[in-house]
Amino acid sequence: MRQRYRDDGGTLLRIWCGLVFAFLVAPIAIIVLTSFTGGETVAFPPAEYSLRWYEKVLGHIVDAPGLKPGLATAFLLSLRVGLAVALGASVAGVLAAYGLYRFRFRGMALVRQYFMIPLMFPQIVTGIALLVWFSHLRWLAPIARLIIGHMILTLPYVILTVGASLEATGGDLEEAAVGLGASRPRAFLSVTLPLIRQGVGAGAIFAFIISFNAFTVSYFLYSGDALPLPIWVFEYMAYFLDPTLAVISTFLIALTLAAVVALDRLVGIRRLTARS
Amino acid sequence: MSVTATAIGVPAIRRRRWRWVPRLGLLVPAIAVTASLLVAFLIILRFSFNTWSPATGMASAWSVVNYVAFLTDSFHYKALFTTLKISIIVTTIGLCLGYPVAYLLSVSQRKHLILFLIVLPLLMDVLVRAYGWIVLLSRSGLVNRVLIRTGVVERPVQFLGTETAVVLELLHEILPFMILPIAAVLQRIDPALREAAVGLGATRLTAFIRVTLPLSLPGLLAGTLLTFSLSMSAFVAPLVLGGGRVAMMSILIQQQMTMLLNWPAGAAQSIVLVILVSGLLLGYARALREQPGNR
Repeated sequence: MRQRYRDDGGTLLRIWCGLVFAFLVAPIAIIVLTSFTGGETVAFPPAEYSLRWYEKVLGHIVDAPGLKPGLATAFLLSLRVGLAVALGASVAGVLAAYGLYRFRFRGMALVRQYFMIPLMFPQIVTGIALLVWFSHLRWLAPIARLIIGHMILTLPYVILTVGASLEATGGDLEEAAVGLGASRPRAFLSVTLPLIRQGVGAGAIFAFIISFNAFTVSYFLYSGDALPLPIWVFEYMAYFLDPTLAVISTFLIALTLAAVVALDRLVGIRRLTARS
Repeated sequence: MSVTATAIGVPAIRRRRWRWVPRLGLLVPAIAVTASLLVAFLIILRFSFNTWSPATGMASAWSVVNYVAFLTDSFHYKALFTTLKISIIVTTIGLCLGYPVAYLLSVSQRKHLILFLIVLPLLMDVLVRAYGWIVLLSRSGLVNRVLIRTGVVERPVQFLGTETAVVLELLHEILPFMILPIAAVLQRIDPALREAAVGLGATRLTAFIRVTLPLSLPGLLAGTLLTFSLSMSAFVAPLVLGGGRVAMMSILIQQQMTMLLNWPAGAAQSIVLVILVSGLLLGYARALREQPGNR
């Protein structure tokens, strides 16, 4: 009798995929291991392990050699921008998704596509276009340039995530609340918003990560007064390649890991990928 | 229904006529955010027709000289050529690496772990990733050590600043975007089809080539177009791993805008890049719509 067909892909496939996973994880693993080196360089594998570069980074927090703002300043700026972007994109995104997904109106498909336009633009072009425009708007605060640039990047993701939540929830409960005498804003705030809070949370975290890690757009919009962390890392990289960066990168990897776990808890990693 | 009308205190007919006004109001903040990108884009579109000289700077004009440069100036069309070449290499290798992973993802019991491995690099800081590759590829890095230890080369190879380094970093960046659309399509293919093919006497390889592969073509097309467009617009890989020496279009644009301050030329190159990339992405969106079982 023929053996029952088992669709596990076979050994060769597993080995191949194992190699691809190794390729995906290698740069991350290397950074984490390098951060514990006891040597002077990023040579790998390290001859000895120590925490000396972690101590060194602690010294860089206030002011780093050759770089104007210290590490803490850049980190706090990225944090401020990220939080502002997460909040701004969430508010604008929830309102827009609510308007788009809950009501039907003529031209709705067109408006949906309009909101996806930023995804069609290479980020370098977004950065350059804003650079040129903002050079005419000298009154605009340096940090506001970054916030606007990052909001453009993140808004499509928030609208998609919140819209998916709204579609999954349906409008019946809100209509019931309105039928029972609640005003539309009241019904939205006390019925619909709690129902879609996971989608909103996921959108906000997504927006924060994208903003916190954004490099290309920030590269054209930053200034000495508003220098985000990725730019700080880039400038540091231009001067030094010592293991200090490995320590900072390890910290950023841990932060991303935490965010991925949070996203997974909120919406499930599977739904996250189905959208992207 | 009468409860609604009295509770709100507005006659039903009037309410219906004006109902769309607050709804469109909901869209205004988001429309404004996206519009700021379009305004900025229109400005560089206008600038791309201006003229420029090193002595006098930008002058207002309606000229296509910046676009013509793409066909005549070797500096320009070489950048386009390099960009296309690297994008083709990255997409081809990405497809070979990514398709099997997508297949494993669609049949594996441990989907969650695999997805985690794929999504983590996706969300990671681009510079952290680039730094990881610098450490790996540096003259005293792991790759060179292994190459010397195994006797493939005698002296360390200079990877940084070459197209090889750019291709490796880009591959790492685009692989999730290749894997996920393919896996999404593979997951929708009924395993019974494969089973039937094998039951009717096909080998597993034949079943794959005759049944699974053709059915997964829309996902394959979507992943290919998406990764190709991402490679075309890559900036961090050529900037950091290429050290600015691998002249892709993004590097050319950056140099025109920030070093030479030739805004009209940089604007025209940006417009060309937008047209190429958005054309590819429209194809991607169409491929996604044509997936089996999708509406």
